[in-house]
Order: sequence, then C-alpha cells, then structure tokens
Amino acid sequence: MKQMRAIIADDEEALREHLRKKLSALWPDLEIVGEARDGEGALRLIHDLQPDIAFLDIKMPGLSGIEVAKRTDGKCMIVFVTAYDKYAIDAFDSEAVDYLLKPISDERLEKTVKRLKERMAVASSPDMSAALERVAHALQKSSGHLQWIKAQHKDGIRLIPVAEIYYFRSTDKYTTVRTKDGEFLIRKSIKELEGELAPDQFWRVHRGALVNARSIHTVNRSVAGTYTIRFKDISDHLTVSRAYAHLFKQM
Amino acid sequence: MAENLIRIDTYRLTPGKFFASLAVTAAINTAIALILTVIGFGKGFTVTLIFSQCIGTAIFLSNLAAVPLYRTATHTSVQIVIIVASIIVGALAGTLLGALANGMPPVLFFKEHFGFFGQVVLIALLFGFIVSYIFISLEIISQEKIRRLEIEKNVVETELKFLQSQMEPHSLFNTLSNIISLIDTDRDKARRMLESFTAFLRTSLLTARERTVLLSRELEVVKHYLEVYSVRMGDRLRYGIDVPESIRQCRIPPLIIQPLVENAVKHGLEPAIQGGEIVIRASREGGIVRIVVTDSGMGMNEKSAGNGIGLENIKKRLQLAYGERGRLSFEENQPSGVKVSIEIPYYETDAGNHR
Repeated sequence: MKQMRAIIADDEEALREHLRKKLSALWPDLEIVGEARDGEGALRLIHDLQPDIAFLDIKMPGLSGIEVAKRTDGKCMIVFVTAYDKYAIDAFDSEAVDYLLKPISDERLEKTVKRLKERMAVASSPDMSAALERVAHALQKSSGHLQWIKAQHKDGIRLIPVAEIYYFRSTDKYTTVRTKDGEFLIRKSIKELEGELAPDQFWRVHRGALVNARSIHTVNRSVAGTYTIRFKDISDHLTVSRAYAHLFKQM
Repeated sequence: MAENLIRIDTYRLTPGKFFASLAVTAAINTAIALILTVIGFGKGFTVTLIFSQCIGTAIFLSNLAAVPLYRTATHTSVQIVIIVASIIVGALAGTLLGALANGMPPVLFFKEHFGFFGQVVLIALLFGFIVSYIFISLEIISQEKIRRLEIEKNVVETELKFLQSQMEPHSLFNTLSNIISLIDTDRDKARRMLESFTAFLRTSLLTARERTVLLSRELEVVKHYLEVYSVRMGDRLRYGIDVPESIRQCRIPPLIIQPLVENAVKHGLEPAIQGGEIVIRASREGGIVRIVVTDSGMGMNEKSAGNGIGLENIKKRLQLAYGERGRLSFEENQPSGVKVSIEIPYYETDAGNHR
C-alpha cells in the first residue's frame, strides 16, 4: 500500500499538535503533510497537496469544517473533529463520514484509523454530500430572521436587538424604529422588514407600520370598530388599519 | 452618592384600578366630612360633604395627572416638589369647585367669606397631604413587593443560566481537550490554564449567588475567563482591562460584564481568522459609571443571535436594579467589531442597588 498523506485543520494550536502526536504514535506510516488554522487554509492545503485524508475541526474561523468538506468534492476522506455538537453527531452517526470527539481518546482514534485503512483498501470514497447537507442544516442555529437592526446614531451605528423594538413606522423616505431609548431612522422599508423579521413576532398592522407583538400592552376597540394598540412602558399608540383588523378580532 | 428616587415609575393605571381608587377617595371624603361636622367645623354636614368630595376628588385627579411629569424627574427633591404642587393645585381647584357646587359664586365667596375660604384651603391641604401620603406609600410598597419578587426570580435565573452557559458542553470539552493536549506538550501552560479555569469557575460561581458584587470582583472573573481563552486562541486573542482604581469599589449586579466579554470572544473573535482585541474600560462621570466592552472582531451580523447568559437577561436585571437609570446599548465599533456600553448609577454600598 502506498504511504498515506493527511492534513490537520484546527484553530487551536494545542489541539493540532495533540492529534498529530497521537496519529504518529498510532499510525506511524501516515504522513502529516500540512496543518491549517482556519477553513480557507485547510481548503488551500487540500487543493495544493492533494492529501488522502483531512482531519477537520467543525468550528473554525472563516469556513467551517463542514463547508470545507463540501468544497472538496470527495477528493479526500474527511474525519471531523468536534468538541461537542449534539446535532452534528446525531447527523453523522449512521453515516459513512467519520468523526472524532475531543478530547480524543486512543481507543476511538484507533477505531478511526482502522476504518480509514479499510476504506483506503476499497479505494472508493463514499458520497457524503447528503450527510453533509444534513449536518450543515443541524448546525444552523440562527433562525434566519433579523435579530439586530443597524441604525445611524450620532456619529456611530447603533445595534438594536429586535426584542427591544416596539414598532416600525414609515416616515417619508425612511423608517422610524421606536425603542424605549427613543426613535432611530433606518433606510429599510416596512415591506423589506416584514420579509426579514420573524412573522410570528412582528405584525403588520398598517400599510406603514410593523408592530412587535410582544411589546403590546393592550388593544382597544372603539365604538366605530377601529383598534388602537397601546404599548408597555411608553405612551405611544398606533391605529390598526381596516385591512389588518382581523388580526385582533378574536382577542 | 446618587439619590434614591421614589419609585412609582412602573405605575400603571387600569380602568379597574382607577374606579376602585375613586371609590376609596369618595369614602375617605365622606369620613373627613363626618369628622369635621362632629368637631363642629363648617356650615352643616351637606355643605362640608360637597366641599370634601370636590376637594378630595380634585386632589386625587391632580395627583394622577402629575404621574407622567413625576416620571421625568431625576431627583427625589424634584419628585417631592411635583407631588406637593399637585396637591396644592388640587386643593385650590377643589375648593373653588366646592364653592360653585354649594351655590356660592367663587368671586363672591372669595370676597365675602375670605376667612372661611382660607380655612377650607388649609384643611384641604392638611387632609390632602395625609391621604396622598398614605396612597403613595401603599403604591410604593406594592410596587416594591413586585420588584423584589422579580429580582429574586432573576437572581435564580442568572445563576441557572450562568451554570448552563459554563457547563455548555462545547466550551467545556474544548477547554478540557486543550488542557489534556497541553499536558503532553507544555506542562507549564497546562497548569496555568487549569489554574485560570479553576479560578474562573470559583469566582464566577460565588459571584452568581450575590445580589451585588464589587466591580473589581467582576473584573477578576473576566480576567480569568480571558486567560483561559488566550491560552486556547494564542495570539488571536489580545485583551486589556483599563479600569481606574477609584471606581473598582463600585457595586454592580453580578455577571453583567462577563457575558458581554463571552459574547465578544465567541461571536466576535473566535470566528475571525485574524482574531482581534477585547478592551474593557470603565469611567465615572458624576453619579454615573460607564462600562464599555469593545472588540475588534467580526461585528454583529444582523441575523446572529446573542449567546451565553443572554443580553436580554442583563438588560432586565439592570432595569430591575436601577429602573430607567440602568442602560445597555450596542454600537458598531470602528473599524470593525462591536462596542457594548453599560451605564449604571455609582453605588459603593449594597443599599442603593436592589433595594
């Protein structure tokens, strides 16, 4: 069998060194041809050195280990190294993709080495794109909705957590963001915001107004049938236009 | 030292509360009219009752109307002036209204019965102050009770969330793996890291149980935390703590800075290829302490959620401890990263915080 070549990618130096030492003890024939401390570096090494195996930390600056693996197009075998990613491990478990848990134990690493050697003998790397897709999805923690609003404020840019916003109201070219600290102007339109904010939290109550449902104190219905929204801690109120009155009819 | 404000700033008037208070006021007014008649003051029970109802209700309404104004006050003395003024306005308006209701044109009443008018106003003020005092005290007591319960709930929540965030498997196993790796390669470094990690756990666990801690104590927690991460991240993490000795004796709610630093490390520096720098600064201007945590990392993605103890929890605890005077705000740092500022009143004793 020809000599195997591998790379190691981890942003923490001590962990790279640790894995390299363990590998050289357990698999003396394996040649570690390169080490990277971030995703881009790992991808460059894989491209330039064409190793047989890549040990990739999942959480790295820049590209994650998962993203690196996706871009290698099955050119080399991947072993993921992770401290603890419950979802990732679940997603890997039944798959051909191997993974190592930090701290890496000798027993577990031996198993991986054995598996890699076997697979090398078969000389076909399994298609793991489906598994990678699933892992990437499982690791995607952010909801995809806006969590922060950036607003020009004095000479800096304020970052406003969406939970602190009472409502958005359109004013001429801008949109006014109302928080307890006051009002801020942003360029995003109500329509754009509606598409990017969590729909179960921010309700359109008017053509030009988007309300944080969690900040509503009361909704009053007048004799004429129009609804007025009042907020916690501030005295502002907003009128609900007829088109959106159905949101409050059952309340 | 900053003055403590009388706190009815979270007072909320519901229709139910309004009518209940109005009914109680009417009952008190009747009782006052009875007492005055019994001791032989006034021009008969009916006349006194009408005056009493008009004056009592006017003072009640005037007190209520003063609440928004009262909320803007930043000093106890200003608050007291507002309350006193509202009682005087209510007493005068109520007296005039009472004169009208009793069929005495105010101008005539004022001219012909000046002595009586003066007596009515004086009595109105006397009872006005007594009853307002009782009303406001009761309101403060009930608000305090709610606040205290909420604070207690939050102290428990903070400790729990803190434990969760520190025992969060990813960080914990990463730190432990690092120590294990270092035992083979660099024993000195391994020992230093283990010492820092132990010190971090000890100081932060003790801190989490307190209601307030010295700023110097919180900075110790932060320092140990950063020491652990600087071993892990090497030259990708640089940090500085720039807090003058003169304000390290300030008392703050526990674990309000550490989570901000944790956020900066995890969301700002760790994902950045070049890493970056974290600086913690504090300064005092008059009665206000400003604590600023700056990182030069990735900056806030509009879709990235905060982590750790949760910024929400910090904000809530600041508000519970200091009301409107506890602030937390976020800005983009130049040229990159995030700048988080906390503003709180300066207290050297526990008394001011979490009363």
